[in-house]
Amino acid sequence: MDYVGIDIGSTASKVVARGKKEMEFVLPTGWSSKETTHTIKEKLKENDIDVLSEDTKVVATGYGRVAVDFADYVITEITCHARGGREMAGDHCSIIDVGGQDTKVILVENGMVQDFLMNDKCSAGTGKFLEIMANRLGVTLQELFDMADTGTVLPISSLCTVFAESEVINYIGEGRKREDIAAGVVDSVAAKVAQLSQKKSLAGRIILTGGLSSSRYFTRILSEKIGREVEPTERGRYAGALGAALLAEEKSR
Amino acid sequence: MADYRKMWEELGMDLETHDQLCAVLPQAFGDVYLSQENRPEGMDYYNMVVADIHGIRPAELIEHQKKGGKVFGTFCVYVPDEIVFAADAIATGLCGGSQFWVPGGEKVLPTNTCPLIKASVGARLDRTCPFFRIADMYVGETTCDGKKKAWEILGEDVPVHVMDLPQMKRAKDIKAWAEEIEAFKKVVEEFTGNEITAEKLAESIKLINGKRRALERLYELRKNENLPISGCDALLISQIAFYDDPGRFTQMTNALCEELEQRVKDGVSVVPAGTKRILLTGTPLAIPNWKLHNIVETSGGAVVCEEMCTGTRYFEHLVDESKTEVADQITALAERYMNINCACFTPNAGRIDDILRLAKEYKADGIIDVNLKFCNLYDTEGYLVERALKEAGIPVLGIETDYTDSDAQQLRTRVSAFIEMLNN
Amino acid sequence: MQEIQHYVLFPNHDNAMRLHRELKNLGVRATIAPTPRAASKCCGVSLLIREEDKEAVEACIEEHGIEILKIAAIERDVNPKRDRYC
Repeated sequence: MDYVGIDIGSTASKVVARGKKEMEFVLPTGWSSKETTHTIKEKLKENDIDVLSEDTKVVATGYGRVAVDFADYVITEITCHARGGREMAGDHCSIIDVGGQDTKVILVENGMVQDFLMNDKCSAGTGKFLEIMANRLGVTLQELFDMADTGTVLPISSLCTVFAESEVINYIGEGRKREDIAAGVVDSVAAKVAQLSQKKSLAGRIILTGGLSSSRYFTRILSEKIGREVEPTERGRYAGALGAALLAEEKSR
Repeated sequence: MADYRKMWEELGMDLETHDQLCAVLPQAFGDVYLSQENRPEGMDYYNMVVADIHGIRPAELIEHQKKGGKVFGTFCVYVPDEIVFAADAIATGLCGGSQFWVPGGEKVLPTNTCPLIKASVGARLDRTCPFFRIADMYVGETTCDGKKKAWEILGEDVPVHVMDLPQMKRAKDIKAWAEEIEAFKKVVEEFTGNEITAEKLAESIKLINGKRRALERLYELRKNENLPISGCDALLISQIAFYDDPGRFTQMTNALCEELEQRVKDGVSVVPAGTKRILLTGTPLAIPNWKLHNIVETSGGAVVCEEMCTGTRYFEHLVDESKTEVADQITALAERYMNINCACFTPNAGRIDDILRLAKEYKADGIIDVNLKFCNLYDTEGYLVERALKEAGIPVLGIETDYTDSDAQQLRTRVSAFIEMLNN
Repeated sequence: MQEIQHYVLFPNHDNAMRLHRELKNLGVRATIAPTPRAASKCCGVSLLIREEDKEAVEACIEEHGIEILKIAAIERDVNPKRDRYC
């Protein structure tokens, strides 16, 4: 049997296959979840995984989960992230997922979701915010973190991405150092994520998942804000897809 | 279909804009209601009311006015309808539950005003709600700051009477509310030219209690393990209760309850066994706001109760019918209305007791605390509500939303995840 | 294949109620519904009937002299997950 987890995020789509054939890959979601889904299907086929076969069980998750028309089950990213996170940090853990369009905090107890929280509609405190600011500074996300590491935080007080962008533009206009602006940007996202996290009582190991999960710099800043260690995860961006693949296996038992 | 265009024109409505609302209602209604399997036949009555919501009832109100009767438009479950009906006048709800009206309200109100107020003011100023056009007087209250200021805007060309609702529940506050009801009685008597006698008031107390009993009977049926009616349908009935003729509404709701009681006897359920039972608590869901109910009920849940103004707050507790003197009747009214637990009171621990009690009575698996954006009172109280529920071991999901469709996908994710969590 | 639905449209709401009552007496299920935009531009009440009851409905209209505008056949367009509210 093949068990496939597909996580169609707003920025990136992640795929994990387990069972007979093991693989994982990521691709940009682009403008159409449908098209991305089709690409994923083809890519799996090249690797001898036929999603339409009886011997393949597929769980779709992420904001574009309904676009995966060949999925055997559709499960929300909360449940899938919790399952994947559990695999990474054990049955009692807290997962902070900073995604492209939303940020989630999930508490796992005895291997089950015990509580969760998602940010509001607004994009402050999400990956989108960092993406916009990195674009504004003309650097990649990784470069943004690297620069931030050497800078001194310039305060960005606005809670709204659009207003925060004007603050950044003002700083650019004033000729402030890019490193300092970058440090301010990362600090502001970390503060927003920490604020959301602190609405719940985080217990057990705390891990970061999502696109920023491997950034040691970001987890360091986030840990400072929360006052507890937030662990980076090497495969954290696959947490949702991995959880989906595991659930595909468990569901078909 | 019945052409109410002439009536709307005579009411001075903006027909072209109003038609945009008529254009979207059938599809939304079809998606939420006609998609349901095994709906009770008794829902046909409410379907009819919605299908012609700006036609049939407004026409009746106009008939009433032609015979010299007055119509009072009200916004809140604290305003005692009994006083209005005792003066041979009619109380009706006013529009305020659709995004359609919000931009009109935003023209004059701050953006961070709750959608209910924005929609109401928009419906009034844009002339797209017949109830606002028909009402001879609006009756406001002081349940939040947004409304207090809104009355001043709404009152510019229609008389507004504002009832000063106390914000605490001490004996002197209940007395103060009785005095407010007394003052309201005088206003109504003067405005209608009809005296409110003890007999008339006794009659209207019975009339409105009858409506409460019918709703209580309906809600009682939702406590069954086998759900005879969906949450969407029950919500629609609660919403229509604010507009319909009380006598007819009571009769039709009782008739529906008979059908539902038969269903309970036959073990009929509108949802598969194991569907998670969800209790909603929070701000009102004015017609046609069906978003959250529909999302819950198409995500593996069933709404079994609403601790809301469009729900239990509207019908729980009856007015004492045994009083024969006007002064005693007014005290009885004040006592009944001050039993409602709104977040505008401080402290408001009674509401938390209500939620815990209802969760037990309706066998709720989980609770969604849903508040309209920018409703500071309910949003702030949510902290205490959610904490108390956690302590009681009841899973709770907090949601803040408005009338737009734009957060529907996010809401679906949260609600589905919540139900997945309950299923584990 | 798209499912076709039949809506009886009326000049006024009284006739709709009359037909609804008569059909109920006959044991024919008709659902009161808002008139779909695809069938008519006016707001208002119509009756949604089942394909197999169409003849019985027509006979009932004839027998009781109920005024109708027409019976419109339109494609069923109901999607509870469309999330377009009003």
